Amino acid sequence: MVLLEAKGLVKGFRRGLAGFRAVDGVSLSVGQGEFVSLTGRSGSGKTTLLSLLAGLLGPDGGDVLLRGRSIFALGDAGLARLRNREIGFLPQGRSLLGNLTVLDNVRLPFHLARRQGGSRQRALELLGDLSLAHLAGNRPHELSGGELRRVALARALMNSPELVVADEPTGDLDLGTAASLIRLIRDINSRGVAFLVATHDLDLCRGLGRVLEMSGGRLVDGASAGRS
Amino acid sequence: MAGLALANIRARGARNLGLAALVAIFSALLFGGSVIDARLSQGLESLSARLGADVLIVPYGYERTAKAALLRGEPSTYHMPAEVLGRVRSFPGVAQASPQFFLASLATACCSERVQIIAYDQQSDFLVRPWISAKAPPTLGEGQIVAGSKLNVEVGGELFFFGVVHEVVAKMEPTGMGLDTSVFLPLESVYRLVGNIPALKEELPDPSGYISAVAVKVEPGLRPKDVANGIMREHAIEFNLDLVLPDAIVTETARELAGWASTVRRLALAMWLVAFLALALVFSVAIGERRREFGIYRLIGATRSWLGRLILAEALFLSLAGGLAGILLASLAIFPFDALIFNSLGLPNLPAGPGAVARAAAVALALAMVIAPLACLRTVLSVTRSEVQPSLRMEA
Repeated sequence: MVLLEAKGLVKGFRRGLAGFRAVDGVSLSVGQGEFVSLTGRSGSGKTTLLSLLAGLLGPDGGDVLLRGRSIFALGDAGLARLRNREIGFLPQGRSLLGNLTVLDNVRLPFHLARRQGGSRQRALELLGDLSLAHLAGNRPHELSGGELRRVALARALMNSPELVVADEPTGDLDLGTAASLIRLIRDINSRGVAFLVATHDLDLCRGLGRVLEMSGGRLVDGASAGRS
Repeated sequence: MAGLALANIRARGARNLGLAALVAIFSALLFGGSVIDARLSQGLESLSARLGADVLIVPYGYERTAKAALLRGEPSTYHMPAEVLGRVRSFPGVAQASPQFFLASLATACCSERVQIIAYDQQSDFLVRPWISAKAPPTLGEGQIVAGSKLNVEVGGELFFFGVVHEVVAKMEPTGMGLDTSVFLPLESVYRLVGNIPALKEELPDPSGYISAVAVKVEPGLRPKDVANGIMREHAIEFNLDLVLPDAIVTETARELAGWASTVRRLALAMWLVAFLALALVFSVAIGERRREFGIYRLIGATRSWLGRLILAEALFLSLAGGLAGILLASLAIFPFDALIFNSLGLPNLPAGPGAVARAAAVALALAMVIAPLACLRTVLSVTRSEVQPSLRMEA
């Protein structure tokens, strides 16, 4: 069953006086529990496409449907709710709040959802699953790059989203740490959480699911592979 | 959200401490000024209510001295012929006239302490008696005195002046004036005391022929100033007289008080503006500085209005902390040292009641509480529009 569907997405930006299309007529779909990797060279439009698919950017043309409903028809509150409950995010770089502990960083989406109680237990479980329980009381600046990324993953999963959007999740990690993170992502995916991942790391894509390649803002024909 | 706002404030501790300090200076200034103002207003009311005389006739050149004794309790000794009393009493328009004799005690072995001794005529007095507590005997006997409310002696205690021990039979109600540090005794007693003071004994061989002042009440419907001018025209040159109009003291004191209050208000307003501008500046740069942080909130599901509320909550906490700290600091500065402060001001004062203090605190806190929320309004509007977008790329 299709979870997310993009139809003819277009997004342009200005660079100096000239304009260019970072995403140029992209259509794709992500099924429930599916793992879709988006590869391509730097500047090929991967991050822009992910941002459009997750409603972080508005398109110049086309639409994105989540379970058949356009996400761009939602207002600010609707999009915020979507980002809070239905899509989890694993952004590039350091995305934790430095003045909160690891535990509080993970709990934050729960509180933004205005849910009552239980956030501590849920966050500790997630941190335990990701082997981070011992760091619950630490501050982000005390963590390594791999630990930071796993905490961000725990935060992305806090409200049990159906889809996690990750942008270069292993981009700045060493090989061992990256492999460990990939195992975790595979494990979570195997429990039915769909992943849409932009990456240079072909190892991450190998044997996981469909691989889509982007070039010049478009999907390269024939790059798509069937789901494993 | 409150916990998050507090965590964010703590994360920028030094800067936020500085901002809260600005709010604290404002609230301290306003609260402290209001409490002092309330205290002086109470004193003014007391002054107005308790200066029972319409006119005070004193020897020429002692007008300021009489005022200083009345307002600040500065001890002084001066006198004029007692004959003045008869002339004043018989002057048309004078309803009541009562003599007083002022004697300054000394800070030497002869006396318990240096105070203003005010002797009054128990038969004609209409000034002192109404302020003495009801428990006091109707008339004072030899060696009995009434002590001002601020003198460190209790009823039944003793004070000695010029070698004579006096029993304190009553204390005055607080007046907020110099009378609070004075002692009161009958004219006859002071005349006997004068006999014990070598310098005065020589100058006044028959002390009962002298008084220091005549307190005058004019007949209803007459203007005190008109009656006083009439007395001056008739007798000033002969007896070398001057006059004090208590109403004028009240007016003058009220003017001084208004000037003081106006200065405090201007200072508080200036400080409010300084705090407001500093906070507005800091909040306006915060939007650029905290773009990454705001982007993270938005990425994980914060609405724009939630971000705005978070900034408002931080601003409110800053204002609240600053406002409360200012009130606390002002309280610590004013209440333990009030005697020192008010003595240096030289204006009549009485402690402000808890209601007035609570009102001053509430107003100071309320005005402090609006500084930061108003200062961050532009930032809140920017955030709640579209300046902060969620992003998948976080700057390090």
